[in-house]
Amino acid sequence: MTRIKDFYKYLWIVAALVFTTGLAIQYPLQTTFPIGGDAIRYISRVEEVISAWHRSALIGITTFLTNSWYPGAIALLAVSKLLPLSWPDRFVWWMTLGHLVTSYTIGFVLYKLSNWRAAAAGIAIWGLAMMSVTRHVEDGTLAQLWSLPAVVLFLYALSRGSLPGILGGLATVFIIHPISGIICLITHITTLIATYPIRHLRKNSKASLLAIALLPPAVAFALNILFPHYTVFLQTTAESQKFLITNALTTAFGPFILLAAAGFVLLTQNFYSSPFVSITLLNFAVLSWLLTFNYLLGAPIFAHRLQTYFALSTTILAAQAFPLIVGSAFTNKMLRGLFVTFFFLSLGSFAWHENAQIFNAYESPSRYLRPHPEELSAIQWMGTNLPAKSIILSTRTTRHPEWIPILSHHEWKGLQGDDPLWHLESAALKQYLKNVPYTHLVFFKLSEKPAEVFPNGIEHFPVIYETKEVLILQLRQL
Amino acid sequence: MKDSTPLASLLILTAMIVARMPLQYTVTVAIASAGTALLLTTIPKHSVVVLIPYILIPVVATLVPLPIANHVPVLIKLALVIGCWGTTLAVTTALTLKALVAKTTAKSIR
Repeated sequence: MTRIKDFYKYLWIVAALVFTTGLAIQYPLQTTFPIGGDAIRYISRVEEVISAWHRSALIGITTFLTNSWYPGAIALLAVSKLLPLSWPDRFVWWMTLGHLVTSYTIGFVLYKLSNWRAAAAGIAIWGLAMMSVTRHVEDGTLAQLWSLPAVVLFLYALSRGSLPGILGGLATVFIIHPISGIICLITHITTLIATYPIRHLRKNSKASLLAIALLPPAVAFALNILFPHYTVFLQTTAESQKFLITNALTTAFGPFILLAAAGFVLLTQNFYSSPFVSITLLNFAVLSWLLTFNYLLGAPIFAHRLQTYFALSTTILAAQAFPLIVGSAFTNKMLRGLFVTFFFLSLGSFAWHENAQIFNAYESPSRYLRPHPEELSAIQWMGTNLPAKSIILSTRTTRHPEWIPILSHHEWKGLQGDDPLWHLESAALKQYLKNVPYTHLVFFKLSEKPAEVFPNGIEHFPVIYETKEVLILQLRQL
Repeated sequence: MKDSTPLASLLILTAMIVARMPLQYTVTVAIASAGTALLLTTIPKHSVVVLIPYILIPVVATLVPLPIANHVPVLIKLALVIGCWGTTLAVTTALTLKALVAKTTAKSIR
C-alpha cells in the first residue's frame, strides 16, 4: 500500500516537472535570439570580467566586484561559457534554466514545509508564470530570475528560524540581485516584528515592540535624507509599466491569483500550529503584493519589475491551497485526479498558445523587437571582414547595436542621437575624426535614416557594406 | 476543516475555471470572494484579528488607490505604508496570542 502511495506521489511530482519543463523549453525552441534589452548588459559584463581576468587575476576580481550591482548573477552567467553555444543561444538557455531551477526550488521548499501535493502544485503553477505575469523573459532580467531560488530558500530558512540559513540566504540573494535582497531583508524585519510577541509575550515590553515596528520607516527616512537625489526614489511609473490585476486574471496564471486569497486564509488558519511558517510566508506575500501595487499607494517604484515577487508569492500561496481546495471539493480520488489533469492540461495548452504568440511577435522581422536577421548578418560580416582593432561607431537609437562587440568581437561605441558629431561641418568633422580612434560607422536603417542622422558626413566616407537594412561606412583605414 | 469548506472550495474552483471565460472579471472575482468569505468562517475566533494585516490591508492596497499627497517623498510613503502595516501586524499578533494564552489557561484551570 505504501509503495502504491509512493508511486502515486512520485507520478504527480514527475508529471509537474514534465509540465513545467515542457512549457519552459518553448522559449529556446521557438526563438532564435534572446528577448529583452537587458540580455546584452549581462553578457557584456561577463565579457568585461573575462577579458580583465586574462590581463591579471587582481584586475579580474576587481572588475567582477565593481562592474555591476549583481556580481553573483554575473558569476552564474559566466558558468554558462562552458556550454558550446553562441552567446544569444546560451543566454536563452540560461534564462530557461533559471526559470526551471526556481520551479524546482519552490517544489523542494513546499515539500519540506507542506506536503508533496503542494510541491507538485507549486512546480506546475510556476510553469504557467513564465510569460506575461513575470517580466524576466521579456525584459531579460537574468539577475532577478536567478535570485528567486535563493529567495525561496531564504524564506525556508526564515520559517525554520535557522540563523546560518537566514544569513547565508540573505547574503546570496543580495549578491545575485540587491532588490530581491532588500525585499528579503524587509520580510525578515517584519517577521521579527510579528514573531516578537510570540517569543516575548510574557515580558510584554511595549517600548521594544514599538521600537522594532518603527525601525523600517526610520531607516527609510535616514536613507532619504542621506541620498535625496538618488534616482530610484524619484521613479514614476508609466501607464504601461503598471501591473493591472484585471489583465493578469485573463492569463493562464490568472486562476491561481484567485486561489491565492484562499492561501492567505489557510495560512492564517495554521497560525498556531506552525506560526513561523505562516508568518514568514504571509509577510512575504503581503509585502510582495504591496510592492507590486505600489503605484496605488502613491509610491511608484519599479512596479513592473516587482510583479515577479507577486507571482512568486501567489504561486506559494496557491500551491498550499490547491490540494486542500480540490480535496475538499472532490472526495472521490479518481475524480480529483481527472480534474487536476484536465485543469492543468487546459491551462498548459492555453499558456503554450499565449506564449507562442509572444515569441512569434519577437521573432517577426517586421515587428523589429529584436535585431533584424540582416543586422545580425552585417555584425557577423564585421567580425570576419574588418581588421583587428577596428572600433565601430553607431547611434543608440535602438539597443540592437549593443550586440556588435559581443557578436563581432570588435570594440564599439554608441553615441546619442543629439551628439554634436552628427552635425559637424566638413572641416570640423575631419579635425574631429583625427582625434578619435573610430574606424567604422554603422547605421541600422530600419530605425534611422543615415542621411538625416549624419547629413554632413554620409558622402565623405566610402561605403564598405550596404543592404536595405544596414549601411557601414569606413571612417579611416587601419 | 469545517462544513462550509466544500461549498467554499466549489465556489473557488468555479471562479478559477471561469476566470478565462469572456465574463466581466467582476463576476469571477465575486464568485471567488464568496468562496473565500465562506472559507473565512472556518478561521478560529481568536485569530480573526490577524486578518486585518493579512487579508484586509493587502486586498485594499491591491484594489484602491490611496490618496497620499504627491509632494511626500516616495520612499517615505512606502516606509509609512510598510511601517503602519508592521505595527498593525505586531499589535494584532500580540492580541491574538494573548487571547490564545487566556483560552489555554482557562481550560487548564477547569
